[in-house]
Amino acid sequence: MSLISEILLLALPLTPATGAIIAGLCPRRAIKTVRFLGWGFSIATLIAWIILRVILSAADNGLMVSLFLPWVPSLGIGLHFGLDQMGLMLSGLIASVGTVAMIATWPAQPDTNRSHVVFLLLAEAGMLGVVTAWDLILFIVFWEVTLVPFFFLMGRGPTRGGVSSATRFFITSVTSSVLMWVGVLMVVKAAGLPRTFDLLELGERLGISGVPAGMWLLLPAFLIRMAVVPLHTWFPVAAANVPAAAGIMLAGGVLPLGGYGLAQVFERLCSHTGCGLNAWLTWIGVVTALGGGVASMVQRDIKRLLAYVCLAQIGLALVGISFSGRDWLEGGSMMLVAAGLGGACLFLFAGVICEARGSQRISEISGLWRSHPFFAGMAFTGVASAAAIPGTCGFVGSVMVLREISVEPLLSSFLAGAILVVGASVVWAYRRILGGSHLAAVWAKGRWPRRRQVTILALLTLVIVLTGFFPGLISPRSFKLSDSANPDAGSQAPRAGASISGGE
Amino acid sequence: MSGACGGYLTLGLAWVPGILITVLDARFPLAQRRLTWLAMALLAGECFLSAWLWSGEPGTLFAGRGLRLDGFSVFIQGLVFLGALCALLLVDGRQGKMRPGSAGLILLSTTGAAMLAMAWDLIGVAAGFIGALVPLWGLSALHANEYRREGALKGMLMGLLATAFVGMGAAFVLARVGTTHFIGIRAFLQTHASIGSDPLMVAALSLLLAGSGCLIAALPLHMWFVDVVESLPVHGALVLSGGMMVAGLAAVGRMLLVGFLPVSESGPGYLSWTSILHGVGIAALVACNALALVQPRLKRMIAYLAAGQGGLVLVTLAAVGKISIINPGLAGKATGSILVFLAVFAVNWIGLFVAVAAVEGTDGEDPGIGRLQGLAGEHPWLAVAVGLALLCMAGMPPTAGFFSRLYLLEAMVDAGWLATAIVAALSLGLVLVMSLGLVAAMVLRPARPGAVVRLSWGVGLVAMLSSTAILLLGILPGGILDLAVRSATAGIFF
Amino acid sequence: MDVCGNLARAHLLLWIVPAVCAIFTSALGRRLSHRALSGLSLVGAILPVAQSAAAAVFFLWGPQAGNLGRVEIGFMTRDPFSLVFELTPLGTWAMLLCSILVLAAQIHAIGSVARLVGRHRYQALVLTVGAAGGVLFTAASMVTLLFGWESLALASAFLAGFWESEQGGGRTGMRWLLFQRVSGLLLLLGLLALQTYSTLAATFVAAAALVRLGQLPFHGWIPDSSRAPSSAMALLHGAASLLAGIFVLDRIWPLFSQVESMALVTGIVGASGVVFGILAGLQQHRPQKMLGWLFLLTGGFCLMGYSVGDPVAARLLVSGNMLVLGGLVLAVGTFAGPLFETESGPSVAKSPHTRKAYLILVAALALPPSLTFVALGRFCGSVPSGTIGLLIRVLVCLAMLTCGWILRRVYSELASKDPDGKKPAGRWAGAAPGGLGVTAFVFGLAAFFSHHESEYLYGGSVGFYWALGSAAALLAGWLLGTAVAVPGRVGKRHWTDRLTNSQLIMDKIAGTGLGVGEMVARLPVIILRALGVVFWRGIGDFIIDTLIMGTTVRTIEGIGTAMRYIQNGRVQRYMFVLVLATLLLVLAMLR
Repeated sequence: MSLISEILLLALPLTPATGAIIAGLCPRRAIKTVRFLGWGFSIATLIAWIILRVILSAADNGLMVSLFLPWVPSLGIGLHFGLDQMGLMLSGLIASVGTVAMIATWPAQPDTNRSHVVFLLLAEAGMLGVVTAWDLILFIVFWEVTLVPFFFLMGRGPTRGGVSSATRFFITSVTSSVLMWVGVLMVVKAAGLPRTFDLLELGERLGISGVPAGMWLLLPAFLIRMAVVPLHTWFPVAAANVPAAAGIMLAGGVLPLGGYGLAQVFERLCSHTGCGLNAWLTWIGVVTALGGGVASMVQRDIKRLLAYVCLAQIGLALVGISFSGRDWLEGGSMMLVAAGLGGACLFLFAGVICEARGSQRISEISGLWRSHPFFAGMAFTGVASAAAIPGTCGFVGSVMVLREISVEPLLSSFLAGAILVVGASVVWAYRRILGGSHLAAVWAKGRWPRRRQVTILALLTLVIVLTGFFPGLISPRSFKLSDSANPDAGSQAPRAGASISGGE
Repeated sequence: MSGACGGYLTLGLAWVPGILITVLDARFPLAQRRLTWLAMALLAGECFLSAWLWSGEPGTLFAGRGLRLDGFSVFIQGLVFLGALCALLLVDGRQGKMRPGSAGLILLSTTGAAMLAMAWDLIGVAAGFIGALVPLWGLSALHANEYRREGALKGMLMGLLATAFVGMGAAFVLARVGTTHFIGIRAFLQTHASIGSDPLMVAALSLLLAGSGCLIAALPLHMWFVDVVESLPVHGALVLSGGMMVAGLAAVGRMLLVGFLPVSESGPGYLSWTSILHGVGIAALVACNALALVQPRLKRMIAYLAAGQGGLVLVTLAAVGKISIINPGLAGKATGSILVFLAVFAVNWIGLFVAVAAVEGTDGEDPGIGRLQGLAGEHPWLAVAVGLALLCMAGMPPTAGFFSRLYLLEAMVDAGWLATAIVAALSLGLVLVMSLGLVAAMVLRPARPGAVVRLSWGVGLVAMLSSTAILLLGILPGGILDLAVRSATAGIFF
Repeated sequence: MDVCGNLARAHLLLWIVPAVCAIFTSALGRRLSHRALSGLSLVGAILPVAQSAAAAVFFLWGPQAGNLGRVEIGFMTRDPFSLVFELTPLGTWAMLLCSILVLAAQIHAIGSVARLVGRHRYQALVLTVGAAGGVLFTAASMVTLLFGWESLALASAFLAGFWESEQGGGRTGMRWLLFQRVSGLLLLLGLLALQTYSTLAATFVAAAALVRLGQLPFHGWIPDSSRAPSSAMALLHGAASLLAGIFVLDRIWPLFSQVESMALVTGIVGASGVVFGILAGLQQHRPQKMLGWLFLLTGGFCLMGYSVGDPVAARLLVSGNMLVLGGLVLAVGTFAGPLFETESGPSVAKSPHTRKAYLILVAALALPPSLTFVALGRFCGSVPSGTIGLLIRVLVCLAMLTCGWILRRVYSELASKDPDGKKPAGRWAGAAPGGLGVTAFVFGLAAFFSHHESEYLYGGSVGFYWALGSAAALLAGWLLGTAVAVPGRVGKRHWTDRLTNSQLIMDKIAGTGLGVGEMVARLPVIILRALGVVFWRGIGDFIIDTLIMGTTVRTIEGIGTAMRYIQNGRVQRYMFVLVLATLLLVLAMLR
């Protein structure tokens, strides 16, 4: 069993990578073959994750499966792959988002079909590598490798803005991650000899020796990828300019991945004290949530609006990660997954309708309810998830986060306000897009949405709703807060009420 | 015995045939192709010879008067010869690229560089620089082109002046110490701990630093270097900015780390060379990369980048000077990281010049960076090679650049220079801006009308070789590090 | 009785049946004939009524009281996210009322929207309201409760905005939805804080209920709601707002009673709601709007019931008024919203059936043995004796007087000739409202038979007499309305008409909910949008992008350009720099 799980663990990053290589070797004209390969390999990755999810027993906080191969023994660098609870959740998110982007989108220029597939697979492989890497150098390698395919995915945008925003994203995140190199080197130096880059061991050693001065150097890398205030400005611009596939991958993969890095690397290395920065991070999260919400209220570009909505959710996740000083951050990770799924759903929807309508201005898109009720109706789950309406994963994540910080009434009311504002703006936009039939005629001719787009959106909808009702589907273990003596909050009120009314 | 043979062979194999080939080539232009092949064969032989010499334990293989052949020198020589070989491969059989005699000149300049690598004496250093530079002036002057002659002139004047400074410094040292031998200098400095009271020695050191700094294009003495690189034809430019740069940096490093190690920290009344290198290196990191950012032409850009990378090495040299005092155990590894960086640097530059050779027009003008537009559309594999080289230069994994730069940063962190490490890391961001611009131009922009890409089997071979090396060193970085550490300990910290 | 017990235990069907019917109605609607579609949607509405009625019988006369059939869906769920359903007496009561209203609305809808495009979706939404109510009223865990709460709000919002999606509208739905998001989040926070801060939790939940009830100052959505189709409006006010709000208040009651200031606050809010309902109702011209304000009035009375410490009175008031007012809304009901909108608001479905039903309902509002009569009695009986109590009772009578007047005005509208000869509505238009009125009487009788002691029913003789008094007040109001309205018909302008004309401004004020409601609805949005501009343009674009990033980039470029100027290609400058650098180096090293 352990052998199978190790093989599947390796398969997570390696399957898309292999697919990318094979697809890259195909002739450029063989569009069908290439697309088939892309679909096959991304679905295979998803299946591998599902099997992992089924066979992995919910152990304690440690790694549920891990695999170590020597790489540069003289420096204590090794190929250490592994998955823990959060890794399992995030890898599932990335595998599904990668599949969504692969199946539901295709490039604007038909001649770039092969590279589109190759870059999508590479991006998926890199992100899965980040999640499965438990050696800091390996982590950095995957962290950086992810950027290259993203650069090309984003640069292939309909506008020239795509290239510039891609360059901006690339440069800011690389600049931040070279700072991370220095920070990692400081950490390793502080951890003492023999040199090791193994995340777990470093965490233990630093727990004893204390965190070094350069620890903060790790932060910018993660915060930029999470696009939190004040490092958020790249994301709305990028989201508005890049093609649909990149938008889906950014909102569904990159932003949550930043949160993953923050929780798994930074918090772990400074043993969840955030080396004194946790309070700041929490407030940054609150500001991001509120700011994203209010900024989304004044957007006229649908994709930009959605970008700010994702921003707000990531802010919530940041609060969940940095506030709960526990070693297992279910609120944060659940919120990350929720933000990813909802963001992917919304960006898929927006990408399809903007392509069909030829415009991203909300005022120019309308009448969808009359022309495509089913497609439009399914997208409501994404909206509901962003608005944290019960029955969606967004609700689950928000409740977990709010519950973690319910000891701070001020913070929790701020966050509730942010959720309210986000819900208001996204529901407003959704209603504007659905309402009105007088424009229903100007939708692009031809078959849209394609059948596969509808299918994928339906599946995504299903996942959002299922995880909304059964959170256990993606995270195998119940979390500490509820293990501790905190009985069900909700059932108290009904019982009380029932006793009153039953007494008559 | 084998060591002695090796020592003489490495120089002799290149020197004598170099002169012959030059003369014959000039005399019988029709035989140029064959002579070029001969030169390439010789260089390949040199490479294999270095590898063979390395197969043994890399202790002192041979120690002459001013030259010393050991793991360190063999390591550097291998790189130099490889660079020269690739330079000839790049331009082989290209009309208008090869002037009569240029193959031989390349061979000669390589010899000079090899000598630099072996230098164990101040005189050896000066001689090595001159030996490496003179043929390049000739090469530049061969082309009956105005600005190339001007470049040759600049190179000659500055090179002579700088070498004169080195010689002057050597003379001062000789006057004070009685020898210009590294070991002798070190022994003297160890007895006379503080040279603050010794102006002659300080002047000597500063002259040596200035002269050699000018020759390895340290800021602000890098200007001639850029002009000369621009004026040279592709192969010459590669040998100067790749081969000689590597050898020069190695030689300066060995001079400072062997000869002047005892004065590597500032004492009363004088400033140590470490702090000078530290400052100069940081300035170069910022300024040269920023300069490269605003260059419209490929070769100039590459030259500035070379100066910037040199700055990285200088900072690390300073760091090694510091480490060898505060934590001698790590000094060998730190020096090894410099060697790894130099190796990656050489391979990386070969890859960059593939792009230059491919898009350079018949006129031999320095191609503008716009020539790279749409390369991925026409020649995807060539674009892959060039893109790998560019990303390697910016230190992106999985290319070799990542680990080499990581090692350097580690050395700086070990020296306790956090701020320096941060600046160095951020300078990588600068480099990235530009390499990314080129990659975007290659992949995302349409090809310019009339842009002609000239491929030969040589270019293809070199591209394949460089990209394979870049990927291999990036994915399996362990072996070369051990190699480098061993040669560093053999060559410096013995 | 066993049958009833089993039906009560199978309470999951209460929301499964309507949900399934809704899905089928919406999916097959286009293909089904009108008759089949109506049948399908009626089945989904009738079965819950039957089942909840059976459950009510079981609870009232069955062997044992207490909660029934706790169902916990534990598969892959997570505390606190486990779905728990349970049928409580309270839930049965609410479910019965809700399903009855849904049934009436469904019948009305079948008739009124029969000829409109997308009617099947409308009917499906009506069923969805029923299903959401089922979830809410059988909820026994936090998530279930919240799910019911939000889905009820959502469904009724879609219903309210259904025919408005064309013009910039849907404003009704949107505004209602925004208010309900607030209430939902307040409820969530309250339930989360339940364990740690009980006072805070009670406050939050009470606030959620107040927002849900549209009490002052959260009544901004009430004027809009009159633009919705009448069946939607009845459900919105009756089931989604009044019933749900009171239901949640009831559940939180034990905590609620512990916080002493709470009673005072709710009392004040309720009283002001009543007063405001009276004033605003009198100002309106459109019958729908008048009735909307009457709902506010009722909610106010319920809150006062809680504040005087008698939840039963509040429940009875809700039951009676919700049936009667819902019926009234349906009786004066329009055909689907703006499609038939005239200048003076939605035109009224005028037909003898509706007029009969209307009169039945008016009777059911005050006359014994109607449930409302019982409720008023209980309420007047349970208010504390003394000045306050006297004032409250007077307020009740005043309210009833106003109701009479308002209802008379509506009736005159109902009885007047049609401006354009629209064909009168069919029998269905009278069936639903009349049925509701009859139900009110039946429930009153049921109350009599279930609890004989008059103390329980209407707080003793005091309550009984005050109830009679309020009935008299209603009658007086009706007569007053007649007196005022009769001369108004012949051309001569009467003083009340002049009053109303001069009161167009007042009308506007009332329409905007005394300005307060509008302000509460608009001001936060304006402020938030301003903040959004500041965050987006000011902080994001200007400070971060332009100032910080732009400056960095320009600095680096500047360095590069400056160095290029230094390096001008003249070799003598190079040599000069070399010599200079060497000298400086010597000086530097020598210190």
